[in-house]
Amino acid sequence: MTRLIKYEFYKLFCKRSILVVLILFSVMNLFKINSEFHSYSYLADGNDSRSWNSVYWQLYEDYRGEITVEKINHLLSIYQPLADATADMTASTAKDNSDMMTGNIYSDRNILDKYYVEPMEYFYHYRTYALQVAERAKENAAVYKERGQTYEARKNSVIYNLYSGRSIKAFAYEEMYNYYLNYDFSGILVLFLCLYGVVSTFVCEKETQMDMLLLTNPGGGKKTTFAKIAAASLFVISVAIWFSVVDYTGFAYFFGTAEGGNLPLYAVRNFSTAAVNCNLWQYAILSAVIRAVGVWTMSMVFLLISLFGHSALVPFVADFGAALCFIITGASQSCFSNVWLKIINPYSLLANRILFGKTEFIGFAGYPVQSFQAAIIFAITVGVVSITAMMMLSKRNSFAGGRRIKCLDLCTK
Amino acid sequence: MSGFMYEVKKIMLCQRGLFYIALVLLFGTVWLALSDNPYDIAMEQYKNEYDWYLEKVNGYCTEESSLYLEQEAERIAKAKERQNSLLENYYDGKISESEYKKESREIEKVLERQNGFEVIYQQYLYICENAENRCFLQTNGWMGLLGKGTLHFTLFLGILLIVTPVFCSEYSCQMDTLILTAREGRKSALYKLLIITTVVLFLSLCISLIEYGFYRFKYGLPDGDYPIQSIRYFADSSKDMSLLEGYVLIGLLRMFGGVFLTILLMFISVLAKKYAVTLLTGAVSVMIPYIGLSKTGIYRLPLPLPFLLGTDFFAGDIVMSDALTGDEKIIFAEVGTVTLLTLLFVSVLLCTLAVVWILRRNSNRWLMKSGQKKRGAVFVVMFGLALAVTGCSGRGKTGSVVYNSSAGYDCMGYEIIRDAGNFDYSLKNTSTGETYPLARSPMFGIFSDEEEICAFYVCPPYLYYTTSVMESYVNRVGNYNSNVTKVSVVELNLNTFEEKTIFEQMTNSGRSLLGIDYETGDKWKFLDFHHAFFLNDDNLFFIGNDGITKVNRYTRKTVKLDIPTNGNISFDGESIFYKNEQGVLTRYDVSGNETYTYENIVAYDFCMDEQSIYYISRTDGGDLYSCGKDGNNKELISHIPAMSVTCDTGNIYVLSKESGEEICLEKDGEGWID
Repeated sequence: MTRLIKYEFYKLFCKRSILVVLILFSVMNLFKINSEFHSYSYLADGNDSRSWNSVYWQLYEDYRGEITVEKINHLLSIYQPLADATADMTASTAKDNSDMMTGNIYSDRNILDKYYVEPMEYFYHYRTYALQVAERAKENAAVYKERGQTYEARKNSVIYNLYSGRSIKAFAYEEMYNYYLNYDFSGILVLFLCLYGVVSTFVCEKETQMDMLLLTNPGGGKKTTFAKIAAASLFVISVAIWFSVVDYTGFAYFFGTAEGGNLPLYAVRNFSTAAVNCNLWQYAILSAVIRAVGVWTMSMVFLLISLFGHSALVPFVADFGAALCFIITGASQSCFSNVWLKIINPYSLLANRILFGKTEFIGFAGYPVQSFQAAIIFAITVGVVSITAMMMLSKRNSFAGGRRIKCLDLCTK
Repeated sequence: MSGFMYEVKKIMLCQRGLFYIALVLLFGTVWLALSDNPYDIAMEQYKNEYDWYLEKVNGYCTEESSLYLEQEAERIAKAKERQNSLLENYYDGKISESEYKKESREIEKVLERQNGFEVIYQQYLYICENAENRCFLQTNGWMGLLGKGTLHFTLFLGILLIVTPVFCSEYSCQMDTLILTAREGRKSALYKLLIITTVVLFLSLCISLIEYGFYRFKYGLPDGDYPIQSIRYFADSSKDMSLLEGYVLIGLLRMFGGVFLTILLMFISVLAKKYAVTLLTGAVSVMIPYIGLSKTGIYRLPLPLPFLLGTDFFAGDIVMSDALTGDEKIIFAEVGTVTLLTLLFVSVLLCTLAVVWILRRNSNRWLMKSGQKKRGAVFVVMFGLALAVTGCSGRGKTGSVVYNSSAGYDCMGYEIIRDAGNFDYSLKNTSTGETYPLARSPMFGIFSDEEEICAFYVCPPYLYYTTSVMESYVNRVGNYNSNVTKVSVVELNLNTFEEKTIFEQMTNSGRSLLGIDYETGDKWKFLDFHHAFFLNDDNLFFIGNDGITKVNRYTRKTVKLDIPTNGNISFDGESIFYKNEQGVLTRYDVSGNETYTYENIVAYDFCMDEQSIYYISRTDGGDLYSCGKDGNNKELISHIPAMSVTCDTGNIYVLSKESGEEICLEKDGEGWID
């Protein structure tokens, strides 16, 4: 069987066109990451000694690491005079002021405000915020218990356990992770590539009418179908992982650092109510795995649709249309609170911040299940159902038993 | 039958071309009808009033029209002022009824079209920014027709479906070699190209005409000869063209975009000979730049996408100021005529080369001189040229309850209190004194100051409240709009404290989906400014400073109700009660859309419960009366001149005009004047 899977993998996916598309998409992805850096980061202004980039990294050494009162006081002793001097907007707008780090007083205030004061304030206060959430959850749990609302009481207990003890102890550069965690473009590329790869899995043999011949082979029929599914799964998971690696490497390369990986996930403001307690680098791995699950599920649905096509045309357009529907509904519903819509849409697993960015639950038999757990279970179930359907719908091997004679009869006719 | 007709039959019938054309046109029309919203809702709602003013100022803004509008603005402002003083004088007995009626009629005549005037005055302010190339006209039709700038997905998918099998079907069964050996072999490719190009041109033309017909029928497309800058989408465009010329040019560019995509697909299908590769290339060539590139980048690429979009070739620069640094940043750089012509030239050249190559590849075999090397050379030349030249809801639960916007809430033994320090709302149990946070989510409002509760409505056992939150992850102005402002209506069961979101809506008019920016008009802008709301099983009613907006909970259709909101608004589940501009109590039936005026009730203020309406009579010097919901059974409650009245389950509260103190009267009649 392993050999059959290997053969199918080589036949279907080790093609020049797939390699070309893979390389092309990877290059496009890197260009896009580079453009994200230049579009959004204020630190993309070169290496001049007065550029924000240089000034930021010069100051960074003073403030990185554990957040202490000394560091906060030191930062405020630089920032507060600048804030006071610029409060009424009457300070000099000269851009060559030698007393200023960037040459301009407003620019100095802005860089300190955006890259040091704001994040450090958030990091410092996060412990208090989390404590408030934990306390409210604890009170809620007691109130709901009193009122006989078991599910709500359990849900609030889970929130209490999740938030009690949350704090951000160290200061580090987290801008790269902010944009990395909000980056969706590669997900679309992965979908396109997987769609292209899997759509031919069944139809390539139908187009050349090799499917009839395959049924007469000892390894044909359901065995081949299973091997194709296994090979396709292997392919799509590899592609998803590859693009996750390219994303991470690309972001680290263009932003010039992977600093901040040890910060907790909720250090990124968008993830302040994150559903899991892990570090940013751990989340990068978790995100890659979850994305692979999402891509696998969608690919299994694509495969199932392509099973009914005689050429790649209708399955491709149908799969493409379905993917567009998933993407558009997933992206447009991502900020709304309807958890079920997020769970049943595999796009949520591709852009998994939709699930991990907020602590959301659904009730199952009176027990709270976090949205990401439910989405993973649902996606795996859909994938397995699709595989079962493909196995049931694929033709049996005509080599075995009486069917062999029937087939021979057909050939002679 | 000629070879041409065989090809037509094959493409249209065997490859289901006709079916796909019909499907594209059908889906396109249905989607257009379902997704369309007027860009300027007020212009549509007060169409007749607006048209009345438009007739007077239509066209360029002249000195006369400017003077007329300024004078009219002054006349309306004065009339409003006069209306208020007239009412005061009449109810204070300073003028007689006949005098009041006579003057009222004159004032009403001035004010009868004030809503329409507000719309045209906004347009006047826009025109004043650059009066040389902006005109007064009905803009909703033209905005819908020209101001979208989004890809027509149905047309795109239709082209993929129709074009791909033309060559691929023959390659898949290896009929191509057989065709090449036939006498009509070479012509076969030419026929295919001609047929498919005609089909795509027909399809694009039909879609453009359907859009034109739809907007002409729905809003009207008058004054097509006015400059394109007359509509906001093209505000800063430097192109000198009329709206109709703009429509024709955009339509022609879209047709070319369709043909460009067709030729690209045919080129790839002849090159790769595979369905999957052709489809992937077609999809990627459109979708990846659409999602991955900025608008400025898209409109400088010799690809089908900019032509399929078309609109922004004629739009002006979009410049925004960075919130942090204050620097100006170009979000979209206008496409100059020279750039457009160069792009068009390069694209036509690419198409011509591709067509020539397709025809050569489909020449009869014995005429071919060289194969593989030339294919590669053509591809390299074309690619090189391209690079060189361009740069929610639950039903049937709301019971019967009377809502008064000015009254407190009867929350089943709870009191809504607001913390003076952190402005958080809590529920206080009036019997035990215990307090609970109103928003049940432990995370609500903790991590963002911009997450807040806006308004309440109580319908036991449910307490409804609206929340507003703003989220973003890129706080830098750029080519990606990551800001999301969301308003939600949450239902809280006061018995169980279970919470459920029954309505959610993004209010931003400029939105972004996967990096594709699009406009949704100002349909939901009113949600940002609502300060109270109420609901029934079918509708939500949001009260803002400029009126009440009714939102259907199932279809999400919005209707602005012409109800002044400067006084109390009451709702009994079926009708909205309010004071009209003359202070006369009025009832609006929300299901029948009928208005009934209680001519005998002129009130300073009013409130109501399940049985009665309590009002401070303006005609009787501020006395407090009660009457039935039908206006009958008038009963005097108090002689004390009052300014305002509210009520709860057991009491009526009046604010004395003289002492300024709140007086409590029991509903059962104690303390009433007999």
